[in-house]
Amino acid sequence: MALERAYLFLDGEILTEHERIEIQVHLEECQPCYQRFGMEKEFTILLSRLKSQYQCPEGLKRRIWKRLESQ
Amino acid sequence: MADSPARLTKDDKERFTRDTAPLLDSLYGAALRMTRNPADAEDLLQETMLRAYRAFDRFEPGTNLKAWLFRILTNAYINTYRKRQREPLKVSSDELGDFDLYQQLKDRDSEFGQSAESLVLDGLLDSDIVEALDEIPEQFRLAVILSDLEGFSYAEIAEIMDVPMGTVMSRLHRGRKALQKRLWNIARDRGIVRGSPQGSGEALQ
Repeated sequence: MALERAYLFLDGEILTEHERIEIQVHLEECQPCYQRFGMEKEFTILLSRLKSQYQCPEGLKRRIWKRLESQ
Repeated sequence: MADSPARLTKDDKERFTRDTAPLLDSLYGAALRMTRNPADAEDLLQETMLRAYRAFDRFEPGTNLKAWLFRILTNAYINTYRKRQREPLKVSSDELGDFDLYQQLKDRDSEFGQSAESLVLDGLLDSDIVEALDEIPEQFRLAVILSDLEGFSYAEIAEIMDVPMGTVMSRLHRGRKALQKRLWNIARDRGIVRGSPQGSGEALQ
């Protein structure tokens, strides 16, 4: 299974049910692909974890709303 | 003046504030990872919100507000803040080497007697990931931020970055590879794994 295809699947970009099932079945049967897929998935989870760290500072929010009010 | 928000009704203004407020954390996080420093991220977000406010009468209610705001953010970053920052726009040949983290990790399994994958990925800190992300070339970085941090679809990213979908896929793929390569180097520098970045493996053989 090509890596691009694994990512399409991971990213939810495979559109047809048929293609999704085809990949799922392949992953169940093929240990190397299953392991690789697992690693790529772990990697994207690591990245998505970053997002929750970020909060817009309250002071910045206030400055933004104030500036828009004066528009 | 074409850009005047005077046409916005009181309702429009209230709707703008109400609908965009919950997206500020996402926008700020993306601005921070685009500019890579808090001062520029603050300026970029202010600029983005001002542009969005002035253009809000052209936003079609019911369409994707988050994607619309991120398109403004991305354009503001590319047109304004990028110029301030020193960064090579061209990708060095080093970036294009076909690094394969999975293969690197598989090669190390015997070294650890356990899965190198979990050892390496679990051993990395969020700050390591930020460091690696900040170092990858801008076009790749933008694609990774929009996809992996923000969860936009390929089609949405194509719209936001104003490039064809094939370009999105290629930048995302290369961005993830470049990121994995840097994370591997960081893991090696921190002593989580030994060996060379490109897996010639001489340190262990």
